[in-house]
Amino acid sequence: MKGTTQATAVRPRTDRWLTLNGWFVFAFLYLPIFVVVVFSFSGAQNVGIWGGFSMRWYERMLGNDQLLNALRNSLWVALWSTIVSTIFGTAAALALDRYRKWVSRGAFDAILYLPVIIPDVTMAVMLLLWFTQVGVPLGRVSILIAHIAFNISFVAIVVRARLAHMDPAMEEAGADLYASRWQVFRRVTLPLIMPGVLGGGLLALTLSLDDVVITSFVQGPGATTLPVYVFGLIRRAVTPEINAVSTLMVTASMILVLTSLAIQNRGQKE
Amino acid sequence: MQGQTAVGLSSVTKKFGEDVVAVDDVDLEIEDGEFFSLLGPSGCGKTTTLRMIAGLEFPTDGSVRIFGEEMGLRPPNKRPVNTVFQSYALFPHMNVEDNIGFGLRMQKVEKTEIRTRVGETIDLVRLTGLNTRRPGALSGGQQQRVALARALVNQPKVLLLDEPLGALDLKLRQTMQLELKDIQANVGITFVYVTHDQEEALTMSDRIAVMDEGKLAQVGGSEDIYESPSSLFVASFVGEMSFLPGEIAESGSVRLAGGEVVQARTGSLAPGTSVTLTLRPEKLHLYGDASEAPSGRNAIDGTVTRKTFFGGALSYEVDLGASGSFDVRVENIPSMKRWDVGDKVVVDFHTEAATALAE
Repeated sequence: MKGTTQATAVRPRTDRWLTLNGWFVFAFLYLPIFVVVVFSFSGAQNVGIWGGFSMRWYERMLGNDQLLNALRNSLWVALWSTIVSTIFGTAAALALDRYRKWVSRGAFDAILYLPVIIPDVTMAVMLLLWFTQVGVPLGRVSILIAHIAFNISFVAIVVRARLAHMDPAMEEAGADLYASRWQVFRRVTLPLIMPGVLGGGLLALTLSLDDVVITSFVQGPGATTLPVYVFGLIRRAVTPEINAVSTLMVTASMILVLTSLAIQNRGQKE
Repeated sequence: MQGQTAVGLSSVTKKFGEDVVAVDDVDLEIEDGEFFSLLGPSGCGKTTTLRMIAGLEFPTDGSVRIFGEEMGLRPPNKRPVNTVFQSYALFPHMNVEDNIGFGLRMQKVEKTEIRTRVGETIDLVRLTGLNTRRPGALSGGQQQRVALARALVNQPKVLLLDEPLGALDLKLRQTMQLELKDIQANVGITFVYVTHDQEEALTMSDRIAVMDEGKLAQVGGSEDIYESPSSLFVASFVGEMSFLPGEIAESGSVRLAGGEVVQARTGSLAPGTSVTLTLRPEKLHLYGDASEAPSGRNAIDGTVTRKTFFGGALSYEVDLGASGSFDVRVENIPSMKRWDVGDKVVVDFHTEAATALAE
């Protein structure tokens, strides 16, 4: 607090410009979203025209079976891919943190970052080729496997960051105080990395709910997710129904991101 | 100190990788009920030695015994010892009570007994009233007490302490030193205490092992180590010490580089051996001229070249010309005679105050 007051006193002009820039960035990011949210309540038939307040597009959305099916798929894939990738991602992070003498650690480390670095399209093509080679039928299950594949990396990265800040003496103290290896993990390690695990899990959930590119490659007939369905709608005809769907998705994503931030913040303070 | 051996190390060696030897062939017997310190500069292997007793590291060679029992590859949770860590390693997600009770819970001690013992230990380390605080809301000194209580509550056969006072400020450290010593006398548990602070080791310990580059340099009581260091390393590491180069003239006397012959403890060193004469600054006396000095003792002429005021004492650097120079420490008492830089003085010391040590 003290620092802020001082900076304002010393360099008021720079400060004013920075504030302005801040608002500009916010406007740039959030104005389009704001527009979508406003127009989702518009009664007009066309997308960019205000036709008075109405909930008709929300009603129509709820009556659209295809859309609801896509939503169900999205939630199913997001939930299971989050659970599986959080467990495996955390395990991978622990392994990379612990087994420093492990010969292939460097290689494994690099491979783990791959899904984060390479373009989605590349990953999508790779997965599609692999599914057809191995003979996995395209559908909900192939989407789930694809989402697990990229989510593990994100969870592992978040959990590793948390592990790096942990005093190694914590686990030694646990062992010194008669805890078995499992008890040390259960009573000391896990509670300490929990903010990272939950944060990573929420990130996985968000990424899974948002993914379009990879899903659209590995989806099968009748099994698509909400974002991919919306993308399809736009290509056919742009109706304000999309605004309603988008508003719903933005709200859900925001809640997830804010929860994730709150959990990570709480962890940092301890 | 007559009793059972609490901790025994036999030719214990610890290597990290191929060529880093942290602990080199150490033999050590720590008696039951002793306050024993491992003293040495950082990197001398003292912490590694402690960790091998705790089971947090395993010796590359040799064996560790606790009350006669061979420890081998036994993990830390199966050893009758507890550790106070340098960083305290308090569990941030548990309050003071739960931190202290952790070890008892893991040993499946009955709930009512846990409550009683945790309560008693909290009183013992004077943390009464802080039971439900989280470690993050405690001061450094309080955290230190929680770490101590968390180990003591298990009534270990040996308590291991890894520089537990290192993070505290000087005043608090001195209070805690006395308190730790009291607690040890109260509970009667063997303490193995790792420190790089020689004063701390001298104040608290029954016996000290001075370590240097993974080896034991000397093991003995505090006074032994201070009064009769066995090597130049121990002499320079423990307490203030001045060094003058010379050689043994005959048994009981040393010829300094400038030709003066002084009486000193020479042990069994043969005449002609080149040695370093070690002198404790507080055991030397300054006089205006030789007639004032007690007769029959060492009296060497010198010049005061520096004067440092410490409050309770003054330190003079005295130059002997070709023989080198040393420090003299004088208590600041009313009858004390003050000297100035440039004054000609006679330095006198008792034979017992000068020890010749071979390189």
